Amino acid sequence: MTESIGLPRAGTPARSRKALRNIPFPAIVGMVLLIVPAFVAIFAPWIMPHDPAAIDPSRALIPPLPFEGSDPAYLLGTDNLGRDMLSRLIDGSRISLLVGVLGVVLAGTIGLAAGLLAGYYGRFVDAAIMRLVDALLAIPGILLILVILGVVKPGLTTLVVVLGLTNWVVYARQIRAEVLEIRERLFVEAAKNFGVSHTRILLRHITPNVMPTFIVLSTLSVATIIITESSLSFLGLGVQPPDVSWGLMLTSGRDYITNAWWLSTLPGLAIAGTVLGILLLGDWLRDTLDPRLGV
Amino acid sequence: MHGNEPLLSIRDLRVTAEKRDLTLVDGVSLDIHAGERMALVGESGSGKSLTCMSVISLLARGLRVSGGEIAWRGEDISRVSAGRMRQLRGREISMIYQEPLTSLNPVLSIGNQLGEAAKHVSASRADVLSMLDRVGFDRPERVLRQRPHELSGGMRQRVMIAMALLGRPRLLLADEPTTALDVTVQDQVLKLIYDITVETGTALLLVSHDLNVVRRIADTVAVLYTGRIAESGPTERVLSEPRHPYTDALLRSVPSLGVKADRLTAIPGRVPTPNEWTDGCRFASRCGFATATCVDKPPFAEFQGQASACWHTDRLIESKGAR
Amino acid sequence: MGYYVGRRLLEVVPTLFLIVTIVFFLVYIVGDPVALMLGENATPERIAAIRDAMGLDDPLPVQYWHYIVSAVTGDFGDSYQYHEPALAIVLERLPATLMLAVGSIVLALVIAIPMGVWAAMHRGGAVDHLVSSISVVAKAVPTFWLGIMLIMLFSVNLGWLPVSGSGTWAHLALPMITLGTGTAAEITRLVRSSMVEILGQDYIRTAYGKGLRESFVVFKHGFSNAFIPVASITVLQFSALLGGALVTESVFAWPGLGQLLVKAVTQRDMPIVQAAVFVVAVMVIGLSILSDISFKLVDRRINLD
Repeated sequence: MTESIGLPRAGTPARSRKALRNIPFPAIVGMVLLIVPAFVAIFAPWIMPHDPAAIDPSRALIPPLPFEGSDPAYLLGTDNLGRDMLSRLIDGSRISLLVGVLGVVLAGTIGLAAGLLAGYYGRFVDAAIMRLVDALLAIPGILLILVILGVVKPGLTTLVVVLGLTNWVVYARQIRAEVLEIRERLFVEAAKNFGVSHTRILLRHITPNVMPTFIVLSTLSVATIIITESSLSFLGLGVQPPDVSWGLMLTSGRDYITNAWWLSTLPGLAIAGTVLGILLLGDWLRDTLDPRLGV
Repeated sequence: MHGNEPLLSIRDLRVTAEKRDLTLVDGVSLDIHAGERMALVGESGSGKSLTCMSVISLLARGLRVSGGEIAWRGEDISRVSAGRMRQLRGREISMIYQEPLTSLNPVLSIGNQLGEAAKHVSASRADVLSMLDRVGFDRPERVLRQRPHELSGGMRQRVMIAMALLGRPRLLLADEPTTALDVTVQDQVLKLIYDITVETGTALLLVSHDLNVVRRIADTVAVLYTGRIAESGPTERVLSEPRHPYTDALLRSVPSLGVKADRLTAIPGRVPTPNEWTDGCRFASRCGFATATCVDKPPFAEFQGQASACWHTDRLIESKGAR
Repeated sequence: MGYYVGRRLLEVVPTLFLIVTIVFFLVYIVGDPVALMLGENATPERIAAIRDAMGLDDPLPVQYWHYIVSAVTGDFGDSYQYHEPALAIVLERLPATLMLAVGSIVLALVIAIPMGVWAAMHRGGAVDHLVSSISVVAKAVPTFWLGIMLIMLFSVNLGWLPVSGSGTWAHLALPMITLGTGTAAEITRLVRSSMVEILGQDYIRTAYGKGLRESFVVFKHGFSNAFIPVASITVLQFSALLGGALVTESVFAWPGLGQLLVKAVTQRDMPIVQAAVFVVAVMVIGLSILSDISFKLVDRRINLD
């Protein structure tokens, strides 16, 4: 009986399938931009041409390939300590993407739970959660991160936790709004089917319905988190050596802008390309899964 | 206006929805002479509003005139530049719309919006005030300072009429101007439109689905069905002696003084949607007179100024004689 | 109206209270203020003395109470680095950051409004696609990297503008562009979508029907209706923009709050950090209330005239 509680959605499976068949051009660009770094990150140990940490001052600052003084062994040149840029970019992709994904998993989990609880139970729970959300929204995310990093030692784990703790707010707000709407529709039905527990309604009937929103928000969050990670690493507060991340590579690159442009250009391109891929894919997912989220 | 030259002469007008390649107006032809009041009648989707919008080039995005000619005093304005069309709008051809509630900009005062129109047609402030007075505002000065939401639907439509007639146009297009109004107000606004067009000698192209409205206002009428004219002619003739089964059915589905409520009959079936349109008679599936002949396009036959596109006009008249 | 203002102001209290509490929690419970203050090689006696002086051996509620009281009075303690009241140092740096932020917003609006309107007028066409592509790329580029690239191009290679520092308008140009780009992208998208909706309204058709020029219809009738949504999103962007300013300042050595903060965080100078959080939060909340109230007023003028 309870299984019959169905909610009509804007995007029915049939429509989604149809949309999948004609993927728009920007989304294809987005997929390509994303598949490359993902592939690279997964197969990093096998495709790195050199040891990304091997220092050799004798071959420092070799420019990338088509430029004068380049060395075919170092396709994208070397950095100020003679480390191979390509290998470091490949190695950096792992941490940048890993932090992005783990950050989103954490932020998404907290945000989903908070949004579901606030929207479903309302009253006190809602008031408490939404007050916290308001408070966190009044501080720029990066500022809150700086406060936390002021008291906790920086590092990979810290970074993921901090990014998760500051990015759940977006989820909570959006999902709460959605649950409020779904709940109105659902309670009419649920009232007819007495014995259904709250947990069951929440998990079996409401959660699946907020999934499209959740997925769309997650793509946008990955983008935000990757950019934030790179900013923090750039400021020296994120990923710490000897770990490599794209943001961290930019820190040392900045000192060489006058004579070695590739040190700062290449990691930045890697970040921008990946984020662009995510944004393009996110726009498409939003249009297909949940048109209501559009601005 | 000299001779019998029409003011507006539409020939074989076609309007298509670009994206889905659907023809929505499919070969409409009509003439309006100076001072003539003509009504376009039909159900929603018949193409009556689109025909009206085509004249002043205000078709919604994605729709365009794909064929035919719209001659304004001899000049084809269906393909004219935006600049030329701007010159005509307000000065030669004006329009009032179905939704007076949303047709005025909510953030600008009435005075501001009337002022723009006045400037375009070089009307003075005194002209604006006297026009407001004419359309029925007791205190025109006050209205100028108000914003749209402070006025009732009827008052807004009066403002729209004043705005449209400021430039003393030769033709007023009215797209269901009273449909969105309260029943009591409908009559007043309709009477205003009638009186003011008679006074100023402005020709009127009224789009309506209400035969009673048409009967009261229009000299001539064109009945549209599925993007084509089913029947046209002098209003009195068409509405009393229809020569097309659709007009006949339409008349019998509307309560009026002549027909008692218990004799009303709904038209069976439904209007075919544009993707179902064929070249033959599109009313055939709902028509009691339909025969195998009706799969061919019915010719337009004229009889004493009354024209209809039906293979079986004779049988229709016969059946009416028998009743 | 008075009631509305009063209610909005009252809503601020719990929000600010929560922010102060979050910071207290972080500094006093997650972190250890004395260890932060003295560094790792302090003698146990010295630590004990400081703990006692700071009241850190008091029960937590008491500490919390003291903390709230001093926060309310704007006393966040002295900076460990500068040995001056933290709030004063923060307030001294604030104008530079505000100048950068406001400059960027103005720049963003100047770019975004015409672009968004232009795209909306040609929606679905080449111009629209171009504008969308530019704005999505602008969103993807990390602020600080854009800054580095701009320095490389305009300062190092072309030599047109100074690399970093402050004082002249030339110094402000690159940081402003760097910070304004992302905001411009965001606002462009919003202007476009609200204009697309507005340009489909009946009153726009009426305006065309009157014989008005297209540019006139679009800006007077169209944009007058887009103004409020655009203005309120711009205000919402301000918080994100301040965050971006913190990073941008580090790239350009712009002597604002951002640089101060990054240094304070690396030096564990918590009073500065706390004061900065408080000041920024008050500013963001204040601005959002101010904008809510002014939009209400504008709306009221529309409603009542």
